[in-house]
Amino acid sequence: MLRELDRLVSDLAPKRSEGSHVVEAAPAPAVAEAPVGAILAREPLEEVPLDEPPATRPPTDVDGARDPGPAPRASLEDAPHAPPAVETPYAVTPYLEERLRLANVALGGFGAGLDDLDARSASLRETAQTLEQELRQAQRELDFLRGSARLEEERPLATAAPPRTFVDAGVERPPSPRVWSTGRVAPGEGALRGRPMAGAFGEYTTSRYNRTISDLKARRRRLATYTVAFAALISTGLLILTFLAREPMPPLYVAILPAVWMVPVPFFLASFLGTHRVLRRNHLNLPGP
Amino acid sequence: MRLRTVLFQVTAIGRNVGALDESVRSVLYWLRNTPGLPFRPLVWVVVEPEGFATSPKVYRALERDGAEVLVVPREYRTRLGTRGKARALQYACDRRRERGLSEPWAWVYHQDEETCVGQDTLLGIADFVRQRELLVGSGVILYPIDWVGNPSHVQELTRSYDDFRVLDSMTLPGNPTAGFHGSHILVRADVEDSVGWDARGYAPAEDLTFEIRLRARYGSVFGILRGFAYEKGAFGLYDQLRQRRRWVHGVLYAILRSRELPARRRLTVLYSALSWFSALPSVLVLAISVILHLGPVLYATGVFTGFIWVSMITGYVEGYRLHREYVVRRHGFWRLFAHGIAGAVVDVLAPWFALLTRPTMRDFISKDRPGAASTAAPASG
Repeated sequence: MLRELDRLVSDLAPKRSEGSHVVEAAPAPAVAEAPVGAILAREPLEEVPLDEPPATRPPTDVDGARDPGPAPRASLEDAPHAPPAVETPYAVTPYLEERLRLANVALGGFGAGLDDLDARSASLRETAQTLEQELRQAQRELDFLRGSARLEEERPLATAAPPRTFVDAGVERPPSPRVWSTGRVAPGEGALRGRPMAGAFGEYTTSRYNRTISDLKARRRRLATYTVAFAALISTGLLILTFLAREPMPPLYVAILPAVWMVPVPFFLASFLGTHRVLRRNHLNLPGP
Repeated sequence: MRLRTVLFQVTAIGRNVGALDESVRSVLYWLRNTPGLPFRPLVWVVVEPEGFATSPKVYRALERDGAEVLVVPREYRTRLGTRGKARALQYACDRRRERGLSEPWAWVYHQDEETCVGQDTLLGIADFVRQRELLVGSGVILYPIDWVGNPSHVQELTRSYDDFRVLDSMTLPGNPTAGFHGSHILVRADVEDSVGWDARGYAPAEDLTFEIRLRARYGSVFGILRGFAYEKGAFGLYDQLRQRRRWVHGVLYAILRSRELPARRRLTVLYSALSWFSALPSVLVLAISVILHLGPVLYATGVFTGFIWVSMITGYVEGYRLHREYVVRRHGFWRLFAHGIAGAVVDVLAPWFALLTRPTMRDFISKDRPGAASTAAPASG
């Protein structure tokens, strides 16, 4: 057990310093972000309901009881909270400040949790996971904003994809709600409860979408070939049966009945051609987040 | 320069509170977990007063978490006096105008109460709003939510694969096979508000009417919205039947009462309806052909029979493959096969059922999982 805890401490220790670095570095690039701020300043944006100031959300309301939470370590709590350099972050990414705040809270909780490691190792792992995720996402938002700031008017929006290094950063798997709703309250967890929880929709990720679409596109030719081949096979079989039956021509009022089978034929043909045209002509995959 | 804004708008009666809650939370969840989206998001929930009254607690919780709930006032009347969902959609148009959101930099993403989004949906939207030429986007809808593999759910699989046909048709001039959605569509706000949803009386398929008008006014401005939307099928065969009945009445409404429908387009819509109506007679003729002995007539019809059969089976197989990444519960082949036939029978009967009965404006199709409380607790505090 002690060996496992030692390993955990050593695993997490570098992340803490890395996280502190990111938090402190956040407000730095005033020069890079100035142009966007200047542009937006000319046309102020409307208030967005989603970017509710983080301070308005009750930070420590856990299961109806106020949980003051353990006091964060002074060194982490005192990390500078410089104001954002421009207005852009609130409009483009309404969660940036919240992320940094959450990351700070989680960091504080993480430090306190280390003191009580033997009793709280499970909760700490979750907190560390959240901390890592929030810092990573905050970093991505910062990168996104810095990238946007260099471009003008419409273009920042068109080319502001996050750097490739974070594409597979693993944001798709949210922490399981069950973990958050059972067991002991992890340090700083009260503040994290405000985040929207994932239902089944938490699994609807871009990688799954791309996999599904790629599979379909990969078998498109085969699908078309099989459709035509099986259709020909069935039709040939029916024609052979008709030939072998050697039945006489029925009366006209009966003979016209099968015309109803022909009604949807153009629709099915158009459907077949259209489906394959869409799959052939369009690049339906999405770039990673 | 104005920053692009995407308004996620869930428009519904609002009585399927659990489904609606999940839909809105899917938006909130993925907005938060997809950093770097190049638009400003807004979330609107537009519901009827009786829907809101079903569970005010849930709606309040959604408001607390960032959505804005707009309850359509009972006394609200449109210019042409439309009713049903079109009335609520028109109400949202009016509110957008009031708030200065009816602009080229604003987009409206339409959701039904059971339309959940994924990370891919948001990235697809982000991708679409970057371009300037296309004014409306629509994409493929999957039906994995609460999928239990019952006949209605198996039948829905075919709709997902059929969506590729819909996308092709929609992006072609004239929409030759009449394809469109009422949900998982992204429309530029100024365009939507200029066309509007108002109609005389009750339009059972307001989405079709909207598409016809928009195409008549702006031409072929429809594009493919990448990323799936995630919905759920009806939980029972009768609900499936009533849902289809509404579609059929929508098509008939468009054919008979839509003045904006050009003659050529009217023909294509009529033909699509006719194809659907022909399903039941086709089955009946197939059944009696055993007794009647059609003889040499089958030389003519047999050529295409194979193609139609294979196309229908492909719809189920490929529909299932599209869902394979998402559905949890799996059944054996024969059970799915039997369910597929049962679901297909309902679709075959639906247009004729629609001729004999009428949908009502308040037709309520439950989208909350049977047994789930209608007053779903909020998922986050």
